[in-house]
Amino acid sequence: MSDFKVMVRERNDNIHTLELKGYLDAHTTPVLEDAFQKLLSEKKYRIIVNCKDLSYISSAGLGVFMAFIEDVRAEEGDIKMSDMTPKVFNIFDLLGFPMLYDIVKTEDEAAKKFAEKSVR
Amino acid sequence: MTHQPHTSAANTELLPLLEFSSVINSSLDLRFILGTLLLTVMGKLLISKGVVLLKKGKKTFYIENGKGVPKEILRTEFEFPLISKKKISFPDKKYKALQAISSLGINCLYPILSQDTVIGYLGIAEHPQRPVTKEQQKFIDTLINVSAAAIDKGVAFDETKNSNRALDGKIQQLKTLFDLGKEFNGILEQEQLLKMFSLTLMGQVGTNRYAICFKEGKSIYSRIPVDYLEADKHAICELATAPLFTQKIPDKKKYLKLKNHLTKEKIAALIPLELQNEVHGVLCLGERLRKDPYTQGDLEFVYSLANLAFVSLENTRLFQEAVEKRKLESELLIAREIQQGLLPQTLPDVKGFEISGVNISSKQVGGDYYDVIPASDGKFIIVIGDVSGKGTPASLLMANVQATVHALVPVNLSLSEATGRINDLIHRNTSADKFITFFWGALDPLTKIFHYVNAGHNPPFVLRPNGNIERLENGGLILGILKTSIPYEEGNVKLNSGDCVILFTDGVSEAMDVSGHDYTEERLEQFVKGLRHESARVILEKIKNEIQQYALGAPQSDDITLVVFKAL
Repeated sequence: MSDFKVMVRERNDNIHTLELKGYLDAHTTPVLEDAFQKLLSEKKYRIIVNCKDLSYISSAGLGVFMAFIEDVRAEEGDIKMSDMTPKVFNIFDLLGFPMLYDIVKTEDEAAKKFAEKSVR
Repeated sequence: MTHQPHTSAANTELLPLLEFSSVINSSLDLRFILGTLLLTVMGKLLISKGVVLLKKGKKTFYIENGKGVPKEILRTEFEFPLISKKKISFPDKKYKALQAISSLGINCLYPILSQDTVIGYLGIAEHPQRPVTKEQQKFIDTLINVSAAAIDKGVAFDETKNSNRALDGKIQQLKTLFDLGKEFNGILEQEQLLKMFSLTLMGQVGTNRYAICFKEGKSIYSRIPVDYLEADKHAICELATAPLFTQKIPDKKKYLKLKNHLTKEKIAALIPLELQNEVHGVLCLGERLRKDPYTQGDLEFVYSLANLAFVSLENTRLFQEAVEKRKLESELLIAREIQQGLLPQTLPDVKGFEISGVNISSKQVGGDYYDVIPASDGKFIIVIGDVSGKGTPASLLMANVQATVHALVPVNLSLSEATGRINDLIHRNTSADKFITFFWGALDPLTKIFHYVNAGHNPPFVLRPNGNIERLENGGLILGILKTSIPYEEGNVKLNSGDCVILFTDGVSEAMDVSGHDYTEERLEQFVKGLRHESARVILEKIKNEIQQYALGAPQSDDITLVVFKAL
């Protein structure tokens, strides 16, 4: 059984970070789905997904991001991703995710992008 | 000293060239190489527009890079009527087809040659008032010569990069299919399977709109309104015999409304879901969120993915069905046990007689009934009956008859009256197509008289030691058809030592061989005549074996029940 964990962390700038750890595949996607579901039900729409400890993501895992992005953006929020290893980024890149999502080097950079948008 | 100015002039020409050469040859980035080439030429000639066309097909060129021109024209393709190794200046009659280039303001094309073949053209907008001087032309030629090798390298590198990426994409698709195939095999719940499929679909192709319309049964919708598609799903199934782009739906009148609707709902393509080459449903695939169109390859991938899921879904359904069936079977097995319990497990000893009975049901539960019940007056009630139909309904009715018979035996009624009551009860409580052929009698061991009523049952045989056979026919109508109006007639027969009564159901006389021929009562008569000196038990066993031999290889279509009793 593959291991996957999601840690939710509230930053002080009204942004919530999901820290992904381990192997995100068909078995473990429900864990991530539940985490998103919970944030959305609490009306928290500014989300950074920190992928520092994410070792693999399958298409089903990517599908979770697709499933929530429209609802989040409809509420003026966004899902941004940060700290991907090259291997994980390659999967996101191959499936064209950089065209749809902000994928940045660090969590702070992602937070800055949220800030820029709220200034505008 | 006189040489010095000359040297310095050569330096001013050579140094930038050397620097240019080292810069572009140190890079593999085609965009950078061409950009540097263009900017250098434009700077030298003081012009504001330039493009680089690269060869794509035999005579096809496309704009790979451009400065001072609209972004949209990048990647535009042009067919060259002939490929000149010399400078082409516009307007030129031969190159009329290239008007689109000249309309950008580009008025001359310099060939880029690598190993004496044209790999592209450098196009510039020469200023009409400042024609290119011979010296400038030489400079451009030199720049192009110096760049050619670097461009070649850059193109090759780009191609490798692109094909590597395409390959990575294919590997990723295959991995997804492989993973899902593995995953689906382990999932036995439909809902979970669909969830995994939809997430994989969304992640892999980047959409969140889709609908799965099943020809039969409930369809599934994600961000697409249900009503319209549901009403038109048969047309969709008819249309999508292969993956089909919505744009490519034929512009026939009957598809017009459907096509408009699919376009409005941003459904980009229809993917058939097939089982054994038959379309069972269609996946309506929504546009990508990032708007770039699907390629044929994408559709093929989605087709593989969707059908992998669909087959697994079907397997799940079949599995559920098998589970249900097994459950039903086990319930039937219990019903059979209960029913078998209603038939006598052991037969009572009747003084002066030998009695045997057997029931072999064709299905798990059957509708035949036999019984031997001791009555309070010392007589024995011997019963045989056959309920119309088979399976559970027949066995339920049989249970009912059994209960009624047992309830009536202690009651002080004549056989005729009791038969009438059973008939009325069955008639009242069952539909007209349910009936029972029924025979019963009271055997008095003291007088050896067998008193009976036959309600439409195959008349039992009385087999005498001399081989004569009499049939016990007195009685009346089959039970359950009409209300009793005429009383059932009673009959009786005196049984002397060696006389034998054989009761049977039509499962015996109508047993079929492989070619569908009945065994017949006549044949049974002939057969039992030969057994007249045997014991009741042996007669029963031999008839049973005879029937089973006769029907060997053919499926048993009816219950077989036999009761044999013989006066000692």
